Amino acid sequence: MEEYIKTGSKAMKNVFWIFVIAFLLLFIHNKPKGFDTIYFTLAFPILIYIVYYLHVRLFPLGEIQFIILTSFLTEMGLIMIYRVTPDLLIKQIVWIAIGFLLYFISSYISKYYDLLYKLKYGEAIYIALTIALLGSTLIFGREIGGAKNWLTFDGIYVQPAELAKIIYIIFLAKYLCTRRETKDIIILGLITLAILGIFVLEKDLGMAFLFYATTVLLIFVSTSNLLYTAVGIGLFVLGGIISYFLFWHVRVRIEAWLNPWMDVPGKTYQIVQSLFAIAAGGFFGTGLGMGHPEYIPVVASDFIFSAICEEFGLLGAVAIILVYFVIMYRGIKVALNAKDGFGALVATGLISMFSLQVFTIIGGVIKFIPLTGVTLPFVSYGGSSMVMSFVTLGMLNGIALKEEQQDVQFESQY
Amino acid sequence: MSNLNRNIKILFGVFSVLFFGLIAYLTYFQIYERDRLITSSYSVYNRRLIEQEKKILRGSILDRNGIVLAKSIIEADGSQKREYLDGSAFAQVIGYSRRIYQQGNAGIEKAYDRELLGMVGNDPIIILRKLVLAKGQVGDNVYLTIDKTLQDLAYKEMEGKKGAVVALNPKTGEILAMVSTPSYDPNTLGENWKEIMTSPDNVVLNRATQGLYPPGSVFKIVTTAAVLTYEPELYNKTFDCKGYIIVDGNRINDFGGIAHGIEDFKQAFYRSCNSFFIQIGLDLGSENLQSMAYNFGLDKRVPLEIDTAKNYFPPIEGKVALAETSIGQGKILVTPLTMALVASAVANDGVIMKPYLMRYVADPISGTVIEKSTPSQYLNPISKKVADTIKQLMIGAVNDKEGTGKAAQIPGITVAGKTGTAENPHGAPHAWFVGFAPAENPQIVVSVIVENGGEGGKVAAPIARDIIRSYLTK
Amino acid sequence: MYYAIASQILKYVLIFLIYLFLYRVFKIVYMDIKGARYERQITSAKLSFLNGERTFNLFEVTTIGRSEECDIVIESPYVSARHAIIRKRGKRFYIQDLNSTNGTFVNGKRIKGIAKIRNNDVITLGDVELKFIL
Repeated sequence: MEEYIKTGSKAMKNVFWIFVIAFLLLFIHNKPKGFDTIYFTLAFPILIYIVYYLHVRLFPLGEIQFIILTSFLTEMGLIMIYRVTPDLLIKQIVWIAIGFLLYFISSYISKYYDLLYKLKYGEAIYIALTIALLGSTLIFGREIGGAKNWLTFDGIYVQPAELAKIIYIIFLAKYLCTRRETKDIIILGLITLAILGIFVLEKDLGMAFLFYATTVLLIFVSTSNLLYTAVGIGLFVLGGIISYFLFWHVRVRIEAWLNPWMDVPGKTYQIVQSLFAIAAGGFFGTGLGMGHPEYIPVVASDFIFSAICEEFGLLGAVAIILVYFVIMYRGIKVALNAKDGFGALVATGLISMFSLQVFTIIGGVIKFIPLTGVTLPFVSYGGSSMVMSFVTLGMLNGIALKEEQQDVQFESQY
Repeated sequence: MSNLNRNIKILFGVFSVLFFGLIAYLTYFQIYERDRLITSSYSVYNRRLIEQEKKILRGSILDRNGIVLAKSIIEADGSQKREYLDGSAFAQVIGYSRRIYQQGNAGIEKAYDRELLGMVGNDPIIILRKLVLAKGQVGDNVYLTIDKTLQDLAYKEMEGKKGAVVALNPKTGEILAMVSTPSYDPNTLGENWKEIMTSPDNVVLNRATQGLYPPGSVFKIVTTAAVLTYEPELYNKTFDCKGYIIVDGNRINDFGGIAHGIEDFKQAFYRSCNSFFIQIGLDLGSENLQSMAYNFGLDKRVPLEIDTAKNYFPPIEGKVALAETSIGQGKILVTPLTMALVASAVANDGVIMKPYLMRYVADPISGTVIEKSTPSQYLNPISKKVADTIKQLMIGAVNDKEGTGKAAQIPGITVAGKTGTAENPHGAPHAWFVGFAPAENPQIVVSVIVENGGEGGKVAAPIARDIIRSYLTK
Repeated sequence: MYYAIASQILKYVLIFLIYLFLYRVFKIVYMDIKGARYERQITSAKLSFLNGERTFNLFEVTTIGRSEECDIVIESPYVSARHAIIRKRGKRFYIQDLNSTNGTFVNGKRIKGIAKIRNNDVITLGDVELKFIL
């Protein structure tokens, strides 16, 4: 156990030195204007150290790896954001701090996740909330970057879909815990279709894919029925083909994926600039501040991975993917060790949604799969995504803690 | 839910495959797609290259002896200007860069763009040294295999004519001269872009590598090679030439309709007798002839750093086509470079070396060689024995009193060669000559074509002679 | 200019640090996997029925109860399905009652939560008496 904690601390020290070197370089490169930037920057390592020790203290048997890995990812995000759009740095640090706070809160709350299960009419409430959240942007939403999936309150932009993701997973877990007849699965399919309908109207293809794929995966996990899974995949392909002919923006994405050279100044500009950036990086990258990631559109959010590819090279990019792989592994372990079926399904749903999102955006910007605009969790600039990614891991941590909490109860009875 | 844990483990497998798929694809991209992406013509949209280009003084292009052919200078306003010091003679080989003329790129400027920008060799030490030593960044210099003296001579010989000259070293594949006329002055490309690009004479076309011509009698080298390789007894055949031959009811005349009378293979080759070779071709059969043509790569694109056209050799169908093909007429189309390579197989014991234009690329500051070409084999169409026999025939074609290539004779040097007079639908026949010297130890192969020039022996052979003489007696 | 040189050198340092970080992350994962196996390692300690009927080897972590899932299965109606757990911590052994119906006793004393056990201690689970031998 001792060595376990020691290794964790050493990993955190690596995170710290990466921070020192990268920000020293960037301060020379960017020449920060106000002291604010410097203060906030210095607050980041203090923040992650406090979080790390709190976690060790409060949850000795919790998923400490989540903290180590998110510290690294948020740090890489900060480095790249400060590199390409220095003005966003302070906001991002604030979002990270809020995210860590919510991580702890959701860790504590979701220790009692069985309450979510016992809630009367739970399924109806969860799905109603999900649809309300998603529908809200249709009515009150703002269109940014081609997709109508934002709400704005006094200049703060919120993506309700990020919250809806988690509520939808709770709904799925609850539903699939008790209902696994063919009839039930068909009803679930119709509900999913309705949600997809909302996303199609909002032109949010990435989210549509994430919701759909998570549903299919959870149906497979809970029913072990390969027929449902096959039908799910078949309908996905069919739906893809139909929307290819029906919707202009779907067609553009797929054509840009198949042939990015057809209209470089126009439709395929983003993906081609992303590929140029990745190519410029090579194996070791150009070095921090030596590349031109600022040539990529929306580089701070959707295309942040391409920027990392350019300045940290293939090696840096592979490291990021490996870190996500470990998060995925820990999430799966939480699901495997969960006390009950509901906990296992919630954990599986959360980690599936998370991993699929990582795969979708990284695969998209490197042209492995068609590009859809979702954020890279913990790295991309953006409050909603940052906060909700922390809540996701917090809930997984809570589910992992549930088991231990039971043991503690036994002890205290005598 | 009994299988819950098993299913979650399956899910782990699925996600592992997805994540490692990402890593695998990214690695594949960096290894295989990266260079292609950076050098592709789409990189006009890559602002990185344009930005870097602006900062880097583009490297020079020099001949094999270090004479500068193209260099960049910085103008008063900080922009760069490309100067071509031997403009017209090198216009098609050196080409132009889209970094200077946004509309397109070609030739060495295109092929070695990254080198000229100093972007090859991500060797960190070289990059660091450049950062430390050079004030601004300087691109690397490209040294060609071409000899400027020879190139200028070839260009002078070809002035006023349409056509191409290729000279190369048969033992290494180094191209010593490559001229295409009519030419243009690349220094005026900026002002006259449209006129030059749309000129009726197609001056930007590199006729040496992209011009496709019927080979005419030069092709008899290939026919002879097929005879010696597949049906050697035909070599001992004699034939009564009447000045024409009738194949399937079609009368094919000899050049000038001269009846050569009874002749053996050697005499027929020296005189370039069409009737004889048509008869030989008919005896040989289309399969043998075609197979030998493929051995020589007459259906392929010659690999070279700059663009080359794909040679055209359709399957021979019918007797008439076979007859025409055996004397290099019909549908075959080849580039002058290809015919130089055919001769180089004879000169180099049956082996064709892969042609190349870049000798080495060097850092202009330290002189460190960054890239270097090494000779390698391209094709091996014939055996040494066959090559030696053909060499004797080619010596005869130049040195025999009846040889068609007498105009290529040089006192004191044994020249081997073959003329061609290629009938074509555009007017007077194209004059061809391919040859090499000294026959005992070939140092240079020359291929000359003059479009609509008339008889190869009269028009093309003297040009080849002058180039060979200049190269061997310098 | 100097920045470019610094950045060129430091990019290797950064990559090195990132991979050192990754190495440690994977080391933790490895320790976790090993830890799970570690629990199954047999120790030198033993647990035997007072009447000498049977003797069990103890693992690093051993569960005792009526359920088939337990490491030591005791078929007695007075023993709970998951009755108690014995862990090795360093060189010492600790027993923990898992909320059993009839409780766990060490040398006749009912234990609250966790208790240390020594050589020759008698452990009573329901109506079964076991001797701990180090």
